[in-house]
Amino acid sequence: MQTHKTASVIGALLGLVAFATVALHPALSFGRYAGELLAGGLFHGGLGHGLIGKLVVGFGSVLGLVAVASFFLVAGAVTGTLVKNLTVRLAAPAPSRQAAAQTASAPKDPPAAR
Amino acid sequence: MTPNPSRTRLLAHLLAATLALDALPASAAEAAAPAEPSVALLAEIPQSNKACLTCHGGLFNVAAFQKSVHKDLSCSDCHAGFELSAHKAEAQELPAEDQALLAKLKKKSTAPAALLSCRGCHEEAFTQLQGSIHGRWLREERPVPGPLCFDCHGSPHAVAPSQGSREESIHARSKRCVACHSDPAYVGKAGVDATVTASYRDSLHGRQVALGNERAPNCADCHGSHHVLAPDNPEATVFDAAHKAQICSKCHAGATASFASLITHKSLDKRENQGPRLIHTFFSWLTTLTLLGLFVHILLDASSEIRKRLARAHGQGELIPAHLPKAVRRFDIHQRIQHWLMLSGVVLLTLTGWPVRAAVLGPGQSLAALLGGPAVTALVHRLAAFLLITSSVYHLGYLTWLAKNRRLEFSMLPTPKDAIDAGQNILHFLGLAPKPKFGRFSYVEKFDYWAVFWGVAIMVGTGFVYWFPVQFANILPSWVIVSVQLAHGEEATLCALALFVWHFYNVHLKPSIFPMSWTWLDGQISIENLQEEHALEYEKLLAANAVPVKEEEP
Repeated sequence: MQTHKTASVIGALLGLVAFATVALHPALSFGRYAGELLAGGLFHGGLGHGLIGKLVVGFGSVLGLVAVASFFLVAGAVTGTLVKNLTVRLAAPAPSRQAAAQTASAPKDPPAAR
Repeated sequence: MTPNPSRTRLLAHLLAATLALDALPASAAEAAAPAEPSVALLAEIPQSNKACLTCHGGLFNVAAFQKSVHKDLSCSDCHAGFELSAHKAEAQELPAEDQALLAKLKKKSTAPAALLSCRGCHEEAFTQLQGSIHGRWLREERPVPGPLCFDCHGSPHAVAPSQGSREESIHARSKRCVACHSDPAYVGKAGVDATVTASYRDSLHGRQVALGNERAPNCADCHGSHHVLAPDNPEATVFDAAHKAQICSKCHAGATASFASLITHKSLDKRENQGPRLIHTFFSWLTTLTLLGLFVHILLDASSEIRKRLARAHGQGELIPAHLPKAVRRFDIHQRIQHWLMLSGVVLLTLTGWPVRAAVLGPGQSLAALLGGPAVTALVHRLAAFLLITSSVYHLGYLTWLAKNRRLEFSMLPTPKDAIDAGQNILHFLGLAPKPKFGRFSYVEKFDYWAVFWGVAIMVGTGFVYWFPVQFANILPSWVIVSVQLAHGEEATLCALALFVWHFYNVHLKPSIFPMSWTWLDGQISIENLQEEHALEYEKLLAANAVPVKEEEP
């Protein structure tokens, strides 16, 4: 399997666009909720609405955004490369596919780095 | 549904005294701008009602009334005694008890007699309500009036037939209970515990109701509906643990008093045993501090990588010798399969677990619906747990096999060097020290590895308690089970955020690797990354002359 960095980058960018389109609000919402749960546990309501509590909620929101965005980026990159690999394989002429299949079935792992 | 004629006549005079028909309690349906009845609709309305609607038709939603369960009733069946001619009726004496009741009803409505006429058809329900905790205000003086028919069922002019699913029904009914029991002004005057609704909302039952689980119980399923009694009433369904166990066993076969005691509707700080509260506090601090540390590490690492890239762009970086191979093998097929199982399991667990954790949020409910609803979500969650367990068992078996064949290298065991490396790496990020040389696994990877050990042990252990609560309630005290259930959700939050923020950054998204690493798929690491991230391993390979000849890409 080839890595196809360009396809990975395009996939990652598409993943980012998908994140911004469908997951931005849920990510922020989940993150804020996680922050509220944490703030509630840290301060038991005492400082939950103070500055530190708000910082914890803000931190949770940032983590929510980063976490979901990371997922979409990586999922996009993986999808992009898999699609590229599939396209290349399907576009290759039959003899090349046979050769590719034979190559794929042969052990090709380099020696382990131990 | 036929009105009781004698009672209707009895009420005639009283209705005449409540001429303020236009001030009937407004429901959500009525609050909306009443729609003008269409010609077709008007044709369906009885002639007697048409006369009333001539004046009163704009005061409520006639279209909704025509679709309601009361559509076949005449206005005067409830608003008895009115006639088009003079809005008058013959005066009749009411029994003293009804007069007292009417006086009470006046506190809730300007058409109390119309409310009293509900009893004409729904006598059993009305009598139960009068004897319930909700009807206490009808029996004795209370600071605030309690609920009446329309508070739960909505306006009598718009009570829709129950054609929806139970899911819609439990949603609607729960909201009606919550509307009063979570209103601070009302519960303050009524002397009701305001934390009950929050406790229910955060409970597994409340979350499942929010997600639309048709099997999840709402308030009335345990407490009853018209005949709901105060918990300290010996006849109440939830009077003591034995009563509660009977209720629980309707859904949880074999439920015992111990199991039933899991549900208290008390916030953590009001419980007798403070174990759950301490667990909540412990995990909150653990999660916050861990994620804060990891996030700062990411920021420092990213800034250092960017600086390094800029330096290389200006020709100041180290060059990789051209004769070196492109990649070497880092993980064998067994390790990769273990990782794929773990990865699939954790991603699915996160996707199916978060909707339940955040069930009060719209996005949580949408995600659950997108995944096929709460039942499918729960099923996939358990299957994903099976993947996680399989991965863990496979890994332990693999380690055992390596040890048996004397191939176990213990390269994941933490050593004092890891602590030194961590400190030096932070200094390196700040430009104050050279980058430490890591072996096969750096302190970052060792942290990930042992965090997974800790996480899997907690998540699987607590997950089984969630899965088989009745059985565990027979052997563990309830506070332990509550603590364990809390730990499941809180550890899940830590795991999910650490995985997608910390692990994804380190293995995929850091500038030197972006957009992703392929090591988890093909088991190989580029020679540049090996030299950069595992310098000791790289030097060891060079010394042993083990770097393979460069392979051609297929």
